[in-house]
Amino acid sequence: MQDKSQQEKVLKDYETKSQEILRKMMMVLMRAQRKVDDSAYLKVLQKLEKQK
Amino acid sequence: MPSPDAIDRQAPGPDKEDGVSKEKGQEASKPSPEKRFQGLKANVRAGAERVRTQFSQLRSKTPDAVLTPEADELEGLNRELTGIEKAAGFALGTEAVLVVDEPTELETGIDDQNDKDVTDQEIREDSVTANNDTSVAVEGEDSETGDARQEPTTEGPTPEQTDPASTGETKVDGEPAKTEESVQDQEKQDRVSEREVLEDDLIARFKEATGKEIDPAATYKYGILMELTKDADPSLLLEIFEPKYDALWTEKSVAHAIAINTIRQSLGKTTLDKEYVPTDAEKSMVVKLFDKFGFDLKDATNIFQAWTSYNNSELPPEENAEKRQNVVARNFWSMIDLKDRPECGQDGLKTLYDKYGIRNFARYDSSQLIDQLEGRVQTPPKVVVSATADWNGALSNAGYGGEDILGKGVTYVEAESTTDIARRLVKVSRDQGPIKEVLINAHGNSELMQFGRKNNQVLTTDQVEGSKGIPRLKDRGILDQKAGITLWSCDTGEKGGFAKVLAEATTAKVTAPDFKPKGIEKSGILKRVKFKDEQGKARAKTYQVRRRMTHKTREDKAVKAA
Repeated sequence: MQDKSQQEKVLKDYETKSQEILRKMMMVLMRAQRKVDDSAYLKVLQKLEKQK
Repeated sequence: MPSPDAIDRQAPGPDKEDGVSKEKGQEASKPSPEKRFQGLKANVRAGAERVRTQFSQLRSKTPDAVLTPEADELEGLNRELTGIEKAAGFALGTEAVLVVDEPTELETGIDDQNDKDVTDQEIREDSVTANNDTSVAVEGEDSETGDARQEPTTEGPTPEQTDPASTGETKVDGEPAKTEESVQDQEKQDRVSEREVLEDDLIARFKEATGKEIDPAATYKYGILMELTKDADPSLLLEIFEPKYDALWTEKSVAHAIAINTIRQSLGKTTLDKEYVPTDAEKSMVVKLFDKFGFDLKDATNIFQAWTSYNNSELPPEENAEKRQNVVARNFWSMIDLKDRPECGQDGLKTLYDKYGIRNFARYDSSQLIDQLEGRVQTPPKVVVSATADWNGALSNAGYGGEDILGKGVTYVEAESTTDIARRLVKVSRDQGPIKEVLINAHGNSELMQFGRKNNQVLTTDQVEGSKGIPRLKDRGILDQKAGITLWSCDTGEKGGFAKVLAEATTAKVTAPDFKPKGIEKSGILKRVKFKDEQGKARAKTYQVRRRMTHKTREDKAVKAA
């Protein structure tokens, strides 16, 4: 059994790393949102759709 | 959007001790670590789930291939999350067995020496390809592995996948025609070979110099290099890296290894021992590193001081030192990542620093800074002003927080003093017109907001009241007539406090929290800016001073009406 301070460290470590991952996930989401919103990008897609 | 921002934005000051003692008082009634872990895990999972749901909604609006890189990246991050959950659960005894069925990229050697066992697992990976596929990363390196995952779609197949027979080349007179793709493949393969030679050479030199033993089965060279250089003396790193310095920068993960490992030792020592004076070799390496990004000694000093303003004395000294190193590691990584983008150009980072005062590159997504560099910003402008100094990492979400509140195309600036704020705002208004919204991201309390790391680099209520410039911001066309100001800063919205004084001086609408915010969001039908408190409840204080109608304006109105 680990002592309390070790457990606290594991917990703290988990908290820091998981928050960092969440932050990155949100960054990815934002990038995706930007990509979807980008009108120029959509125009290219529409053009491609028409060519099909 | 969920916010991971759960760190106080309180300026260091005497009133802080109350908060600390209260926390200590609550310590006794804390639930067990296992229970807290379960609670934390549930919160994190809920956050990740919300991101995934929103992403699925986005994906349903576009053809599948458009968001494939982002989907891969999210999947990788999700795997990473599962990995750290498993490891933490195992360490706390809530999970009976730690099954590592895939590399869990928990850590890496850059920032957590306690995860050495995991680093070893990572190093024992069988091949570089396996690592690319499963996103094994060093903290701060994730974008790089993300890029690695995207490589096949953007730059053709990886060298391992390259097979001349399967590339579909057309043959003319028995000779295979060199298609553009095959030339690119060849160039890429050459680059990989050069890098491998370089890495092998460095590994051999470091093995000899440090005498460290590395598992003979390990083939992931970047991991080996990180492990070998982890605790190496900066003078030794300098001596070995220097002759190959320029060649190393062709590969950003190797560049990262140099950047991080050459400065972390020195930084760790200076954090733990106030008397420690960095050696000439340590100083020389930092200067050399910044030079690579186009910064001179003065710029390098300013930027490095902003990064090392992280100094959380509330944490145990070792943890504080480690987190301080992480801030530097993340910022170096962001600089490397930005520089690696063709849109950034040679002077991109320098322009961001000179024109907008950006020092903490890791606070923003690289694409946000690229948008800003290329002028894809809103007009009239919306600006996020962040303090350069951040003693506890609470300001690290300026990028996504700013975009969440002000929308896409935000102009980000950083300032270390009141004159710096004025200079930046004037510059933005000259280039893009009167500023419509300002979000100020800094530590503070009801009396002041702190921008630089020195005690006098603050903006106090007395300074605001006595300022001749602040009341003229609208008249001079720096702020829009209907400008709104949000203070993302602890306690500034308290009754009679900083927000009220600023509202009176500027006649702008000023929104601020009268508590220590744990997040920021737009909520309600009117989508007003609110701050999350510890219970997750969103609230804010808004101050707006309507100019009293003078005798003259009353007369003017009457004339107009007539």
